[in-house]
Amino acid sequence: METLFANLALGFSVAFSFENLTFALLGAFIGTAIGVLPGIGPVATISLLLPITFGMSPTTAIIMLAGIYYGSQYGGSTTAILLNLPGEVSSVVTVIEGYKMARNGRAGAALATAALGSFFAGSVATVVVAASGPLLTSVALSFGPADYFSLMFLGLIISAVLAQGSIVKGIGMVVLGVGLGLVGTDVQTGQQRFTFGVPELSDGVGFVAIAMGMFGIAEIILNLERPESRNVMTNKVGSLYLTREEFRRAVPAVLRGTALGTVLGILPGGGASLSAFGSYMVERKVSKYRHLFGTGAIEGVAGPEAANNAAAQSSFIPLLTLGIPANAVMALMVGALIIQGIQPGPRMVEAQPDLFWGLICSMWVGNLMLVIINLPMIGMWVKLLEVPYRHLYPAIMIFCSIGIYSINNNVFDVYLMVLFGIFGYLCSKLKLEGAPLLIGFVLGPMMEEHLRRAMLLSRGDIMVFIERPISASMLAIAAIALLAMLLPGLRSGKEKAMAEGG
Amino acid sequence: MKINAKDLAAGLVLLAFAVAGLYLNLDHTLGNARRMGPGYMPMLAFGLLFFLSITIMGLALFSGPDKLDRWAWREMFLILAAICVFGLILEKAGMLLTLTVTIAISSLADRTHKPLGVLGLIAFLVALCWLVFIYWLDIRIPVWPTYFAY
Amino acid sequence: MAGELTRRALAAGAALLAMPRLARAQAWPSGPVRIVVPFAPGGSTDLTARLVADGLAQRIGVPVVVENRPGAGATTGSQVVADAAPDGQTLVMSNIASHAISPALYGNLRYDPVTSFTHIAMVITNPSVWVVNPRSEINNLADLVQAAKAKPGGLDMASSGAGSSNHLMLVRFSELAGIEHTHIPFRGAGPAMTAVIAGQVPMMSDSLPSAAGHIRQGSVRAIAISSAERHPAFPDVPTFREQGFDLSSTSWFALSGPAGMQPAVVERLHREIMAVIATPASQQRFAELGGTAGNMTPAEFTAFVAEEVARWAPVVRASGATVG
Repeated sequence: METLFANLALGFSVAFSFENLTFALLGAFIGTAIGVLPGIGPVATISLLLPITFGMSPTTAIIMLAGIYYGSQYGGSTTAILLNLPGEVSSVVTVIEGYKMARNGRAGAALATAALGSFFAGSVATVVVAASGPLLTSVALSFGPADYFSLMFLGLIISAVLAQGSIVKGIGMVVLGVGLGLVGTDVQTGQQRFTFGVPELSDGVGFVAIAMGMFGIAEIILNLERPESRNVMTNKVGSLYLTREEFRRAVPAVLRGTALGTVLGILPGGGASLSAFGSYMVERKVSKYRHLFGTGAIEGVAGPEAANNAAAQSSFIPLLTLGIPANAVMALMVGALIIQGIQPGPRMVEAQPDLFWGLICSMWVGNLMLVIINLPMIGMWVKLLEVPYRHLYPAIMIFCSIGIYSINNNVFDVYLMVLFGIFGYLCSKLKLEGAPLLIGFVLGPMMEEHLRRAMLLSRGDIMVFIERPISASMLAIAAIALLAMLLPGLRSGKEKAMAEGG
Repeated sequence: MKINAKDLAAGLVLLAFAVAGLYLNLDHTLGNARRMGPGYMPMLAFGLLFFLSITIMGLALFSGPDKLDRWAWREMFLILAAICVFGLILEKAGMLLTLTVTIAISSLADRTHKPLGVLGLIAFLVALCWLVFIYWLDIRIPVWPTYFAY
Repeated sequence: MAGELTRRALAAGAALLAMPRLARAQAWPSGPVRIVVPFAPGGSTDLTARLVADGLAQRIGVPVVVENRPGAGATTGSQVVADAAPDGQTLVMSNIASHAISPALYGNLRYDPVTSFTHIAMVITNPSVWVVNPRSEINNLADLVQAAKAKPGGLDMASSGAGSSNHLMLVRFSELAGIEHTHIPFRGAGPAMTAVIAGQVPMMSDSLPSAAGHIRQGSVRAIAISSAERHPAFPDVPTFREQGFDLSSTSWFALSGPAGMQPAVVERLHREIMAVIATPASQQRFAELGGTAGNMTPAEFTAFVAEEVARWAPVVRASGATVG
């Protein structure tokens, strides 16, 4: 314990140097800005800024890049809440309750919850990383392909709960999402699937194109067709900050989200994206206010935002202890470190203690910066909603268009977004939910990959999923969750049908 | 009537995807459980979707009534056309001109727009986009029509 | 008459407009140079391109911007450059995927890896290294062959993806050694490395830059390196040749432009790039990445690309990987 404090003291002495503080602030600021812009993500920004970091000290460089990463995560939630525009997997969940809150005039509260919840989660996860990072590495290594498959399967099952209405329709959208995720080059054989010979599809349908089309663009058309409802939003900008009641409801959700996110973030590949909607599912099942879900429940913002940020933090564990990046942003960080002559991995703790502990402490500093930057800005963001919608929608539209173009510098993605705009509009007319589709889209391909790898390694023996304890328990939970969801659904459906029939 | 027209249509949409997916998947080798081919997972996914969509349609016969909504064809067409025009002319006409045209088309979707207001909006947004995307982020996007640039 | 006049005025105007274009084309560079990277940001190609762009910009005095055009086995971005004007303002980070393997993998490619480009300079070459879990009993290639023969269905061998140069090395080796293997493809080298460290897969073929750190810190053991000679940074790792297998292969990253570039511009670019990669800072970074700075004249490099294309085509066929 003493060494932990000594290490943290060393870390904070590094993080609190004037130069590092400045760059943490700068990184968090840039990150927030790019997170707010749809389509322009942290990966593109970090690689743009990479050459600038060549001249910095490694610690400062990585601190700034980490700041961008957190900042963009937070900025993404801002547009999700205000404009129904999810830029990333994690903010798909924030959209569900956050945008409803904004429509109820509680945009300020939703944004404040996201900021404070993220800060709390970040602080806890920082301590966890510092105290038990190396230990937790073994968790990441104990997950084999079969275990990942079962985890993803569990994720898909519970994602059906994201649907507001019929469970069967929710599952249908999840499965359709899985199907969409299979478009592109098959990882195992290199064969093209469902690409119609279009080269742009060979790397799959872009997540951002689906998310922006189905949420952002479809929402514009929906708002334009009901002029009466969109003015409600501008007239009802209530108190900016949390009421006592909201605060009381958010706290337990944040605590649960933090715990879930910290654990899932350790798993490389998919762990972090599972955390946000895992938390949503938990809140929807255990919260005292679960009947309010779907109408703008603050728990549905607080839990997933906390989980997401905690996972972003703990996803540094495999990077720092194994040198294995958990996602594309982490891969860039590895690149930045290697160029600086530092190899992330178990030896980094001993070889560069100031970098290692400085980075961990700067995670916390970065989170603090985010709160400092964003809390005062909430008022400004909410003011954005007072802009008449006829001025707002062309802006949303062109920002989406430029953003989606800039991802691959290819107009094909623009047309893809249009296509998903039509599909999203169709879905909302038929009460089909977009969120489960996106989750299926993200998890489906990973699930296929792990399934096929598990079967290759076991030489076709399906028992591998039951013999491994981790996998077996995941599948058991999935079975229970499925039963728990379907039974009341069927019962209420039957009751409803009978009531109407009689 | 107890027919839920929305669910019925939703089931039909999903069914169409399932059938199309299963049909296209005929091109892919299924493989076996040990060495799954590229067609194995799509078969599972679209097969499941097929049964789910039938279930949805079956349930829809009793869970109504819920009529289909009207579509805002005009708004939808104008918004999507504006974005398509953006894609069509961006690389030739450059960002500034493209944005002007795109915003002008999209402004037709809201009847409360006035010509002068649209002009102001165009000026403001074009300046904002230049500032954010070109000056500040320096993303790779043509700014001016390509003929005059070089 | 009026028509004639207008036509003449138009022609003069067009000439005026066209003139700066010609004049500028002669005085290269006429504006920002863009380097298209046919991969997503963050990979080793992207990193290399940004290193080169940074140094090149300082030497030629105009901005050099890196543009990522990922997709379709690096062919999307390469196609963009093949179609661009050969004025030296648009270049591509050509590499073993886009210019050696994908031409055999993709039946419907519109560019020819040799004739659609002006090949300018080799930037960096990286050998592959085969690594095993440190607790494994495999210490060299002979052990590997033995282990593969002992296991029905062959040994599980991991790579960063189907059709990658590392996968093709596994195919080639199995042919040479007369063994079977079960290829376990991953989505990128990182997850494959995790599986080797965790002991889920016994071995993988990886490029040296991404494996170097893991070898140094002992989380995996290197059993063979694919360069012709031992690597200075890893003198203990024997080559394939030393162990009796005639296999040498390096993945490479280079700079190419569209076909038909002016020789003077090519010569200048070649000189500047060589100067950039010769600086101590670049040399040190390349060494850290585990690669070797390139050293080929444009003519040698063009011949090299042709050799690579001829060399990989049969291996791609043997691997069974096909695309569209």
